[in-house]
Amino acid sequence: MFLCVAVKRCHIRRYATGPRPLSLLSRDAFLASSQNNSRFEQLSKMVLSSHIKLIPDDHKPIDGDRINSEQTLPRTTDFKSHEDLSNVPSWRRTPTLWIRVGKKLIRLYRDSVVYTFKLHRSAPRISLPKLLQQLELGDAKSEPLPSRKSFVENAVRVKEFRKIPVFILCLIVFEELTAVLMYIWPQIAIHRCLGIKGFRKISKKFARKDMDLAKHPQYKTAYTLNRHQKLELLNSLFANKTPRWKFNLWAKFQVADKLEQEICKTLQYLIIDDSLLLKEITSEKKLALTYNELVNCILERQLYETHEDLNEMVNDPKTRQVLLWRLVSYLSFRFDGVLTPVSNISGSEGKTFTTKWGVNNVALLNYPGTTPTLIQLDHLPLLTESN
Amino acid sequence: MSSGLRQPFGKIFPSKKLINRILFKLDSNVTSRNIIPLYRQLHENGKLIDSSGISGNPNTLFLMNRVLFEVKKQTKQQNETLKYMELYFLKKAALLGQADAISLLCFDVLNNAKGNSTNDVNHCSKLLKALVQKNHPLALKVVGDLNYSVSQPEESAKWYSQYLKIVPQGKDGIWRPQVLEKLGELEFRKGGFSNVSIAEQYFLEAIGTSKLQDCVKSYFYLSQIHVNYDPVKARVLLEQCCTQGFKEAFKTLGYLEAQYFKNLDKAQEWFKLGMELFDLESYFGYFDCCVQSKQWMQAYKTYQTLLKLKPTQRGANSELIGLFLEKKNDTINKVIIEHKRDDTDVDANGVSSIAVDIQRSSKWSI
Repeated sequence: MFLCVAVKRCHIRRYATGPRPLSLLSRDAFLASSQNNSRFEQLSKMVLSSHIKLIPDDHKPIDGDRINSEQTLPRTTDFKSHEDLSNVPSWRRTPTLWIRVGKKLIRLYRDSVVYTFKLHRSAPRISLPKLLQQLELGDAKSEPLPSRKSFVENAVRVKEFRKIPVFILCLIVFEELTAVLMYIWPQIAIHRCLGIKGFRKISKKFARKDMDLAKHPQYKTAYTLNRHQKLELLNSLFANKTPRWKFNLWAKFQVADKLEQEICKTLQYLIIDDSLLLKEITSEKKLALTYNELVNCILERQLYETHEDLNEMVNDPKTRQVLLWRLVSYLSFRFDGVLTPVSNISGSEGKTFTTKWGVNNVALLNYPGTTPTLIQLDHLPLLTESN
Repeated sequence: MSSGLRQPFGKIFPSKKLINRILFKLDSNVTSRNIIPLYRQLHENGKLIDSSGISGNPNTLFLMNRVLFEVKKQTKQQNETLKYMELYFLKKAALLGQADAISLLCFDVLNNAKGNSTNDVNHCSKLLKALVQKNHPLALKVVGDLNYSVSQPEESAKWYSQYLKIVPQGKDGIWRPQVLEKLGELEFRKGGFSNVSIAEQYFLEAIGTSKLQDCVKSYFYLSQIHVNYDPVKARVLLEQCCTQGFKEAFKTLGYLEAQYFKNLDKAQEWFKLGMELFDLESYFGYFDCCVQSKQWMQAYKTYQTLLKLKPTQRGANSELIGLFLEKKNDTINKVIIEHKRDDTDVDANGVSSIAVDIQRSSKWSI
């Protein structure tokens, strides 16, 4: 019966004033908003003490890497920039460069196809509601939670499998021109095979268009949105891998619950991913996040604007910190006073995510954790100084 | 009994078709042609005259008891005559040594120990003990039920588990779903994800091995497990409960429709049905729905009904109404004002308020 009570609590909760995002309007406003957020305090300390370490893409995954799924994510730098041609005579530098890049690309394509295929064959079926329930109500007796890596791979990245036939066909028909095709139509490429420019195109499409300036999120379910809003929302969610034509078909034939279910699934995926990430961050072990994993986190959560090039940002030491702080402020806003899976088991006080925000509260998707803008380079001194 | 038996047999006894269906469900090798004359005999004479042949078989007598029990369950009504017949067959079967009948009779006596003599209670305890020692499945279930009724969850879970060990899956389907449901309920009450998951498995097995009408509680508890994480699934499960008139389900479904699916019309309908069963929270939900959809007249009527209900309710219910009226004071004031304004508008347009009332009220009008 306790779940019933939880629903009633949510019902009351919806009318109460919600927690507010961190305010970047002024120094005082920021200090005031961050003081009330214990999660921000905890996470910012971890950033400053280098508990969260960012490592380049070419970091070789070691056994037991529970966080990064590099084999499913595109590189943040191109192969050209890594080539050392100092020993090559200048007259054959260009052909040597392109031959080497070509070889690496072919190897990358082959590995990606093989990995995605293997993933598809071995991936267990994941029930997002069940996993969310386990995350929130899990006790010491319950089954161990999946690692973040296996979760993201089995829940979402495995869906790249459907691109394999077209991708292989392109490789056979167009051979080396496939790379050009993937630049023009990046959506046909397996995500791992995307080039820098192709990725930029994709990221532009899913960027945060406008910030919701409401002070705190009001409870909103997917059922309160009209058809246009639902389609717009679904098309803006990178984490949703369902083909876009299906949305239009469902909307046209008014298939009951389908669009709403898709929104909820994506929301639940993000909540679970956030929780697992937070669990890893708050654990005693130091967290090593690869550049492409950080970029993917930012992309899926829409913590960037259209004009920002994520790959460029993550490869620059200063803007890399901006991305990290954006992720931290996002997690702090959502999980302030929320039980993480670790604390849940130890029985500490706090609310579950669903109790705090309500059941499938899609209004959260509008909130990046800070107002009125995302964290920019000039906010960094303020963020570091406040701790 | 005698006055009840004076009613014509054809009027009180269900149709042959229903009896046949129940016999099929109970996997009986006795046909309705064999047992209906016995029911008629009992009805006309007050007892079974001939105790030889089929009427002397304890298993058949117990089957006849189960048939009447099923009739009661399916028709959702109890007739005094049929109740007498049910008990008569149970006692008769128990006297002839039918173990299931003895177990059920013992449960009746021990569950109401204060209403029975000490001798009866002691005798029943002895009989039940003997059956438990023989590992009779129903006796184990009955002991579990007795523990459950005196709020001893661990003890009852132990006996139910013992029952499940003796009656493996796929065998003796009559009592197994009930035991699974009870076990699920006990696990669910413990809370925590692992216990809830175990409970879910029990409920799913109960649902898989019985009909909806026999495991409504399993559907309801399953809906409670899913309500926060998979509301669409919870809605389907609750709708199933509502088809069986499960009182608790109406308000939950109403709130789910109103709060999550934002379908006020449907929510209102569920609350209306809940109000027909005098479920207090359905009144509150209906009032909220009316306010949200600006049906001031209906909201006002609900408020009036709550005022009327308050003195008739006792204890917690009365307090609940008081609390609701206190919390919703502002809304109620608004409802009263809007309702009056509606009335004035209608009068100014030359249409009587009664006509509007008739137009607006449905068959479930308050």
